Amino acid sequence: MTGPGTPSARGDAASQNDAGREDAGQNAAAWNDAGTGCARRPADRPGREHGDRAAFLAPARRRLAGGVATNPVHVPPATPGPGDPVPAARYLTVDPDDLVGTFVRAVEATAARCHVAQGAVPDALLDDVAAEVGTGDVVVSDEPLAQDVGRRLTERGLRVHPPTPEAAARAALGVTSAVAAVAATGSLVLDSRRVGSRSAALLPPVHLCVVGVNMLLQTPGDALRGVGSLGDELSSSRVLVTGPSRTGDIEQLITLGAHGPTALHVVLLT
Amino acid sequence: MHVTLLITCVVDVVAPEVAESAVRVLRAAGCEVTCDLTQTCCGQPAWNAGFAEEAAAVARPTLAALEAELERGAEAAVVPAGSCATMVRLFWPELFELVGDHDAARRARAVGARTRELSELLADRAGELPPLRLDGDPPAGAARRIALHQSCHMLRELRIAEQPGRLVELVDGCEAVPWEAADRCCGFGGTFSVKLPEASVAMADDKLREVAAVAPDELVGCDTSCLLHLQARAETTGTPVRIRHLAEVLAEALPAAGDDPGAGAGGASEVGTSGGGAGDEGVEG
Amino acid sequence: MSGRHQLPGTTLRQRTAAAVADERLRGNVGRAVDRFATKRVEALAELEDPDGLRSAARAVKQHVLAELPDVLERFADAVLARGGHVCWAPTAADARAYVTDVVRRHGARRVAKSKSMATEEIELNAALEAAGAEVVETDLGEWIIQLADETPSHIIAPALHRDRHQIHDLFVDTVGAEPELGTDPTDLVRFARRRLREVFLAAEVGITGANIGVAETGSIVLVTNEGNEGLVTALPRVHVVVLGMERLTATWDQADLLLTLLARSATGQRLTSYTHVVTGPRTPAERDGPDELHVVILDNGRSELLGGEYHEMLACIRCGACLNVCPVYRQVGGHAYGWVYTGPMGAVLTPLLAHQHAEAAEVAGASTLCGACMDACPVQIPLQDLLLALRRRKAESAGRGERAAWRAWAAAWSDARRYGATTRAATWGRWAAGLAGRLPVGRDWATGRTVPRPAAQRFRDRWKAGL
Repeated sequence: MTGPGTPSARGDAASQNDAGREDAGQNAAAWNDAGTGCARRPADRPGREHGDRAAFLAPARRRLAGGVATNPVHVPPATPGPGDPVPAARYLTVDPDDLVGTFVRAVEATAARCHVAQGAVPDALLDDVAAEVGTGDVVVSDEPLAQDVGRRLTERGLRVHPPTPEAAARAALGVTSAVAAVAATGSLVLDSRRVGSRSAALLPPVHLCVVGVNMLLQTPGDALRGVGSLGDELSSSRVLVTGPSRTGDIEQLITLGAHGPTALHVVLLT
Repeated sequence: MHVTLLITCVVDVVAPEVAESAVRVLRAAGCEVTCDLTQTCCGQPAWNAGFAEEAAAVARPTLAALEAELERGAEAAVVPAGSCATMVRLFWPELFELVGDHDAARRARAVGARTRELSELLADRAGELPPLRLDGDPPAGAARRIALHQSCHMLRELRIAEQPGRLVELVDGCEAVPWEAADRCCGFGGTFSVKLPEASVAMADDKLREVAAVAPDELVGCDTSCLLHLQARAETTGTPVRIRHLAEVLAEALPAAGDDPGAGAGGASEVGTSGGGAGDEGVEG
Repeated sequence: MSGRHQLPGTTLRQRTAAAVADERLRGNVGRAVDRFATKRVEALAELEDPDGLRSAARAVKQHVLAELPDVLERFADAVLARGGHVCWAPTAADARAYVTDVVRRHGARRVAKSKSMATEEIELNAALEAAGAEVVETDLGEWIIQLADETPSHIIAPALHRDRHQIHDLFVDTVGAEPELGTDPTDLVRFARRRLREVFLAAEVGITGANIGVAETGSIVLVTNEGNEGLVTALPRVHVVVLGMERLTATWDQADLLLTLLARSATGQRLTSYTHVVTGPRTPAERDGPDELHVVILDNGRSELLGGEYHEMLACIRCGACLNVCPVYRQVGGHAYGWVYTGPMGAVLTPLLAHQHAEAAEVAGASTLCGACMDACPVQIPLQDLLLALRRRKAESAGRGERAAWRAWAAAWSDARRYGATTRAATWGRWAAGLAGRLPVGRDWATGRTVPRPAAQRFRDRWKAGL
């Protein structure tokens, strides 16, 4: 057995991964027919429950039946009460009259770059991007704004691919849009169903995200508190991306590009 | 104002000058000070170690002593130690409830409501104090630089944070110097100091190193346990910093007997109201 | 598993003494926690009334815990409705068995892990390795300690105790890095990125923990910075989540409040690079993501804490803020606590969750009760009260020497006359020595400290003489 992290040949399992990704429906079936008995179309049927729910919960019910002990020195607060609204934080760094400025500042504080442009991504920016990508490949999400960028990059001679994991693993650049942007934190909300994959924004070393100002929210709460009302719109993966990937695990000094992108460019279209 | 003194066991046995200084300063602030010697200890060492019954046994006579004093007309109990003041005010009710002594818990709540840590009370009565002055150490005229150690219970449980500094600043010739680890635990922690002595000493070293960086004339605090622990380590490592209780600094800054203070009630040490309160005659010792 | 925990087999004193003797460790730990602690304060200052938010967060967690069984049911039902599988795991063994079975059923040889304290707690890696799978930690700090065969020393920064040179040498010694590899963090991170990229692409099963489970939609929230979590949950076919049963909120409003405080309290960031909401396995329109999602709901001693003296510890959101302000942790680092959870929260959780080890109880003594942790905790857990309660529990089975000492002390000092008799300068030393009996109290104090002498006259003597 190879040690952790050492090079390992991508064997059958890995190529099954590849094959399964090209067409989600068909090849998922092929893989499942390997006799593993897994759900064929996961979202179509409910999951299975393992273990005894009632037995698991019984001790908890028993212990809570008599109420909860309260320590007399550090007494729990009374507010908000159980039925009360949960307070939402007020962010002192947000200027409600200048959300765009707030957003730009917040994005740059995360070591990402933020460009504000009217109407469309500027040609100059795409020229720079193309030059950086050079001979590399690009993956582009299914979203209209990203598709626009994809077309214009193709015109510049770049090889542009749909956002499969294999293509993303080879790509120098991933282009997506976002379903929302958050001014207080400089975050982009990515939805895996809109993008068409989870890895398009993670595998390539550079991520370019184009989002309209009409998607701009004030706080993370504005993005998160509504998740419950999305219903079927809630895809399997929704992520608030706040800056490029980073780690502080070595001497607590921040290094960008741990496993995800080293650079994030945000284009806010007004 | 009539106040009664909770001596605290550490001060009683090892550092009586702290309580003496406290009495002098309280009198200078216009307080009549009495003391009921049927008190013993607040019980905190056993409480922190998890021995509640033993803690309650020791706390009971002390509770009774303070209660009796309050009934005799003391307006407040004064404690020259932050951790003991915390024990009385915050933890006594829980302690007594825990051992099933609900009556003592009720009485403890009443006593606790009228218990003050020394600097807390003195800061409230700052206007009553006479002018306080310390001559700086050479070079002549330079202010004496005081680094304050903010002991944990006092700071975080009783929320007494700025009073010690305010009192230092009241003293002409003294300045409180800020420093990095002022509010970091000194590492005493009661039985922690003997159960995990290496860690305890490392924490003292950390404090002493940080205070050395500002090179104060004195390291001053309101909890004798902390100060003794730091001093015991400083003596071993040869760290040259004078370590004292705030009461001693303030007492030194009082106008000397015979001086004309020029202003302020209380003035120089008054002998009239000294002497023990009820209960001290019958105690052997 | 990445290394063996030092508990059982060592005492708290042995571990702390060894730690403080390690100057390099103390330096590394001190620098790290100072950075975190400072940034936390700055980050919270950007919010209006952060203490009000903390108080609200405490209240919110209490409401959830008071209704936990119902919230768990709603959570599980929502996960199931979205096609995720749910495993109710009363014990660590149950959880290990289920996950091992999932791995086996898929014939998976390679498992990629994103950081999860719960999986450390149940020693999952060892079980999977015994079943023939190769398990690779992909969080950089976790990978480092896996290679070093160590356990995490900090919740947020598992390899905080190692500096760049130590990490460089580790890479050279264990995974064939060239000695010429630079020691700059950037060089080391690039190296790790290249190596671990292969793991993401090859793994058949991805395992994560979860920061929060939200019952409203049956979602899991994962809060990370490196991007490994996103890849561990995007590329493998199967995603397994191990979730402590208490880590829930009922609603997204509640989750938002906790998420407002979590990153700011942990690292001082407004949000980490990735706040990832996972709800069910992937849907057909998505070209990656797992076909199967398994949520393992873990008890392993948590339900025993509900409703009782230790109930409030279940509010912990594993942010690490308490570690960063603890004066004891600062000197001894994480391994001194001996188990998975370290610092103040570890001093409480170890006696509560690792109770199969007799040595776990004494970890509650790794504290001076200074209270700094309570001031930092985003959900205002009364850690001091919990530590005191644990000490009382431990005192019930105290050794005869210790119990006798406290009893003798109480017998003497519960009466002013006896107190007086034992505290005179002439009698004090003898009495105190007798009290300590077989306990080496005097010797332990004198380890690096002078011994204070009793005053010739006690205060009460001077008072009686007339002050």
